[in-house]
Amino acid sequence: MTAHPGSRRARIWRELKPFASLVPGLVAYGILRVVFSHVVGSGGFATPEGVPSTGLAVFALVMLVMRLAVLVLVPLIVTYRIVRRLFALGDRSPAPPPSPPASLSASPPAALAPSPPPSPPSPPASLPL
Amino acid sequence: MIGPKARRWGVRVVALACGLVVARLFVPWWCGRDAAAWLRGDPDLQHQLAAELVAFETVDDVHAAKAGDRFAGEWALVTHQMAALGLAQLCLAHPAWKPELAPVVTIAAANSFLPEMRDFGTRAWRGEDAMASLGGDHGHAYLAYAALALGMARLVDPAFPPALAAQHDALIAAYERRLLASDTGLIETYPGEAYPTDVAAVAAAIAVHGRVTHAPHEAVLRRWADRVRAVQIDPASGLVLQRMDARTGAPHDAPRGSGTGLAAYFAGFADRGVAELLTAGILRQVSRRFGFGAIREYPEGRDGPGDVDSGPVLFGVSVSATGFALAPTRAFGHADAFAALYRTTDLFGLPIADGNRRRFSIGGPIGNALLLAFLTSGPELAP
Repeated sequence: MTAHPGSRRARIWRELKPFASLVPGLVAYGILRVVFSHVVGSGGFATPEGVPSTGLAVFALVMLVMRLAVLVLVPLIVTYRIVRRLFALGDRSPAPPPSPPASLSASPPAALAPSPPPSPPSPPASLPL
Repeated sequence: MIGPKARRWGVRVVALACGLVVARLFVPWWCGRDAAAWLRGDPDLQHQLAAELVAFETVDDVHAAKAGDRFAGEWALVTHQMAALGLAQLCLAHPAWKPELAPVVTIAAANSFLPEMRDFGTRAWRGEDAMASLGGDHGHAYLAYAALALGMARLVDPAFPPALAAQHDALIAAYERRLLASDTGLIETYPGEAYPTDVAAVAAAIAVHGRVTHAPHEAVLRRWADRVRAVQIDPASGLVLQRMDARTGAPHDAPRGSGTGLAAYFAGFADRGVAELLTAGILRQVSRRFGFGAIREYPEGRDGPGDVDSGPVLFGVSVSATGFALAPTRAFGHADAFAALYRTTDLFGLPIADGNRRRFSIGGPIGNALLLAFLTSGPELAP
């Protein structure tokens, strides 16, 4: 039996949602990186006369700080959230069934046993940093 | 029994610790993912960075008259010299690339030898031009950078202009005579100032000239190597003194990482033993943090400011020395040190691929020329 495609998509989105907040930062960094490489071009940032302009110096500094931030924070945040999610899943996993009673052979077949009531849907995961 | 609040905090601490460990491993891995490729001489990477310098030399050749406006003095000289050396090293590593790159090597070397490129030296010698005073005793060692580039161009380019070759021969003869006459193995760069690193460039230029012309330069190179070991290296640190008195050999500056790193690269052209000795000195200066490496400018127990040679000195490490040290660590196969230094270069250099070209955004032409020469160092080593 396969899961309903809609519910699978919803489940995937629910798992990815906590990481969505990283995307705007990454996109902004990517855009700035492209703009920076076009602004600086092949001329570079430093010349014998010093830094070409204060604006370019600030831009270069912003790029370096953003690069450091992206390189450090993205793996840190992603790992943090994954680890917390794994702990949360561990907490929700059902307890192992109790050992069968000695009179199991006398009990009715499993197919005839009353099914347990359905569990309520779990709330969407929310794992703030 | 752990309460839910304590458990929640425990999970947070464990998650944060895991995040820090992953970030600690990820950042150096990301910045060093090209290090192994540079170390083994990946042709694609090399050709992409070479293409950036080929474009620069081709354009700059057209606008050579403007060179003084933008790339003045030593920077312009070193930019063209290092572009020539890097491209020539690639010709030696990949002989099939010679038809494409060798003419550009000659262009770059000829650019480094233009009179306007050495204006700063002529001014320092109160109007005395190096090429107009070849019979004199003044060292003019700064022009060895161009002489080395010309030598490498002659080595790889069969169409090297004979008139330029004749000037090159005359300059090398002057350097050989001056070096043989020096008790300290030093000749002046500027009046009263000698830089062992510049003299290593002189020795490199003489050695490469010998490879091209088969002229016997063994005596002068042996003498230079002896004097480096006896006079120019600080025995305590293994670093070369940055600046010395050419006549007495008295130190005018501390032993430093930037001078030693570049001297190790130049020495490789002339004498492997000296180059390995200087490389051992520079390896003692490697400072490592979180998988990244940098070169301390001053030896243990000494301190000082940065200058035009070292670039900015931040937390004791030199930007220039860190770049310079890439060459000897690659050439002599110190893979760990090379990778650590490369990660730092990548982190702050902001490398970018642009079509079939690759460049380090921050460095500009001089940074890319230096890195091409250092990241491809090895084929130029003396036999």
